[in-house]
Amino acid sequence: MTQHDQNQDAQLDDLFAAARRDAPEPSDVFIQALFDTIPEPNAATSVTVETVSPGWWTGVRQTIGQIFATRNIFADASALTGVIAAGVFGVWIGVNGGDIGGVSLNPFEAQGLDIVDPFSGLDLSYVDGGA
Amino acid sequence: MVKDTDISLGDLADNALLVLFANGSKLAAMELTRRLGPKVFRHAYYRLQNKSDAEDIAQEAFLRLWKIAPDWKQDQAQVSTWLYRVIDNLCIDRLRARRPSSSLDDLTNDPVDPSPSADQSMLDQSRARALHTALAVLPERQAQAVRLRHLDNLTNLEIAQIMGLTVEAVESLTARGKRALQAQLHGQKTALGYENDTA
Repeated sequence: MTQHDQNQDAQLDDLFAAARRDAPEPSDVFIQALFDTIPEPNAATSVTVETVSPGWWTGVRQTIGQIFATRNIFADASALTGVIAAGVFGVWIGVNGGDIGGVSLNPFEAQGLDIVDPFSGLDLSYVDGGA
Repeated sequence: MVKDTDISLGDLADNALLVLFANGSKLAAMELTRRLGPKVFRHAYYRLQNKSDAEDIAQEAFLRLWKIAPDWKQDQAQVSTWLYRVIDNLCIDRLRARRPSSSLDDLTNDPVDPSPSADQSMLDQSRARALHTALAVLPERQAQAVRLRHLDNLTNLEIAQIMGLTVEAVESLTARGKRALQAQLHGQKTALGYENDTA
């Protein structure tokens, strides 16, 4: 690059700098006017929250929970529903004889083994007074 | 979810501020306005050479930004890039709608500054006027690239994103634009205060 080119570049840079200095500063009134273009947040909000309908069991738990919560019987009625469910399940096992869909809950029966009482003779001994 | 109070808004990127605004934060929008408003205004002014028009254009650009905020895709563009594009398009529309003489009228209506730096200010004004006149004669894309590079002080990469070009194409445009400006302004050296130049 020759001295002439360098001078021309420098003069052009000088013109650019002059143009930047000559540009007016944005006034506070203008910045405030820009702020005024901002819509209220509610108008701009686009985020939507997807709602999921609760399942049948969740509905039952919530219903029971609401009943107890309404009566102020327990502080955490939702947890109580688990206890109730366990109780109902236990009663049902008792009525059903521990047989669920043909599968026994008794581990020995499940393996095809008969239960043998190793002390069955003691029952009669007690009846006979140990004789 | 990030809230206004959790972090300083000044530390967030422009895109993050716009997303925050779309989620209901007016403070984020104000921070974005403070950050980009002056730049956008100056960019419009360099093109239109009229303060009032530049303010109108900047406001219109921000109105459009708030409108598209809910659909903003963070990975698609920078907010500033988007704003510069919108400003350029709005300026083209405004210039087309102008009467040919209105631009010159605006330039001659500036009040005289009585301060001690008035001489420098007047010299800047005449040089700026000569530069803008020369830029107006250049092919549109060359002038746009030169303005973005040497008046808005953007990087070649930013200009490439705004103009939808490669960096190499931007470098070529600005180089040709500067040569054309030098050729145009060569005969005005004395009038622009370069009479002592020995070159």
